[in-house]
Amino acid sequence: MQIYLLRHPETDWNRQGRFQGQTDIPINKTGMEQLEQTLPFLITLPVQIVYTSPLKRARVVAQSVSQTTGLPMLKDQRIMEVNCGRWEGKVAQTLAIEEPELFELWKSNPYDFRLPGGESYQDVENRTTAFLKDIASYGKNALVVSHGIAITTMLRFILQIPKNHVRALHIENLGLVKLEVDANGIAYSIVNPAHELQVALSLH
Amino acid sequence: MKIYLLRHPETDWNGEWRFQGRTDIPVSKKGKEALEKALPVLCKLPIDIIYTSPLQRARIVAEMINERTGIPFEVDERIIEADCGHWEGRKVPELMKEETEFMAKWWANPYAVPIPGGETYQDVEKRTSAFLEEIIDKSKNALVVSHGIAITTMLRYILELPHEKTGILRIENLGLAKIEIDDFGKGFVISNPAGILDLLSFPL
Repeated sequence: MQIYLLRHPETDWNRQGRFQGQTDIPINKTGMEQLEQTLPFLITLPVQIVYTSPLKRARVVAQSVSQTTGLPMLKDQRIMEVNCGRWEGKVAQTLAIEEPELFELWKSNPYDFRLPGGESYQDVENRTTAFLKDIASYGKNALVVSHGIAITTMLRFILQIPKNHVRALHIENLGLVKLEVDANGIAYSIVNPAHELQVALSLH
Repeated sequence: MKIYLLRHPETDWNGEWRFQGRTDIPVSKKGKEALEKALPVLCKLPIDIIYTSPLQRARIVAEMINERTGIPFEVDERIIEADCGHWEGRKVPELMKEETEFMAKWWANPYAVPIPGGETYQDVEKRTSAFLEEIIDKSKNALVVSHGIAITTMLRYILELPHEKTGILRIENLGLAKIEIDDFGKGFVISNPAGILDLLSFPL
């Protein structure tokens, strides 16, 4: 079975480099264009169900896919973005100046450090991997629309990347990850984008 | 700066699930068709130079892009596939039956256990990571056409995956991985395939 993990389209806060967390920022004009361009391709993915974070920047994708294809869509709190507490809305460069010690702690190991008033990456990984194990056990091919850090924690868990090295993994807006689940466990597959394109074009 | 890692198109031996290694098998009819489809995407990647393994299944990709775009290519021995020794040409399911115990021992940690008459993944990573560091120093955007195991070792090196976890990373034929290098180091970037396809200036 296959599980596709997808990060939401761009928001203004993404563009401004702000900690977004669970603040419910909508996608911006660029994000809307990205989504329109990607949708013909997303609806060709061989999935039976769409899971989404409850935040609107993710939900807008799941709703578009579900409305176009008729696929069922379920909201799941466990794939929400990391709660960034009182850092939500702040720009990283500002935090580095205003709270250099805390910022350094977060930078050097976000798994051990709980964001002030929020979560550590470990807190996030606990809920995202519980979700992943659940949907893997259902055996239905799924599209999961989620967030940068939430997806990073799922991949860190699968690949067993050292916790202080997760920054080596970046996920662009609308970045797509294909997971293959078989008797040997969950594997991460790097795909041929042109092949995916061919599938999308054959619809037109 | 960006480095794209690309696995070669399919060969008959890939299709038959045989260990290929250094045996110089050409791409199959299916592989050639997949390459034709991928070429418009590959020709628009923002790169200054192409590096290729000397084996013909990789070199054909570099040559075809060079023909169409004039982007220069260089052959580099260090990104050739793992030497699979006595296993080259053997089918994986057959070996699993005949040498069940050794195969299990090898697959549990291919970094430490050499393929009989061939290389360990560690041997491969030594040369592929030296190659990577060298082209990063040159800071030219590059496309690297290489092989399944060779690319796996480069990604393991960047993500610092535990050696015994490398089997979790799979790369399809013509699978494309993007690496970004900035002040913080080397990162593996998960892209929006439709964004890569956007380079085609959709719709065709």
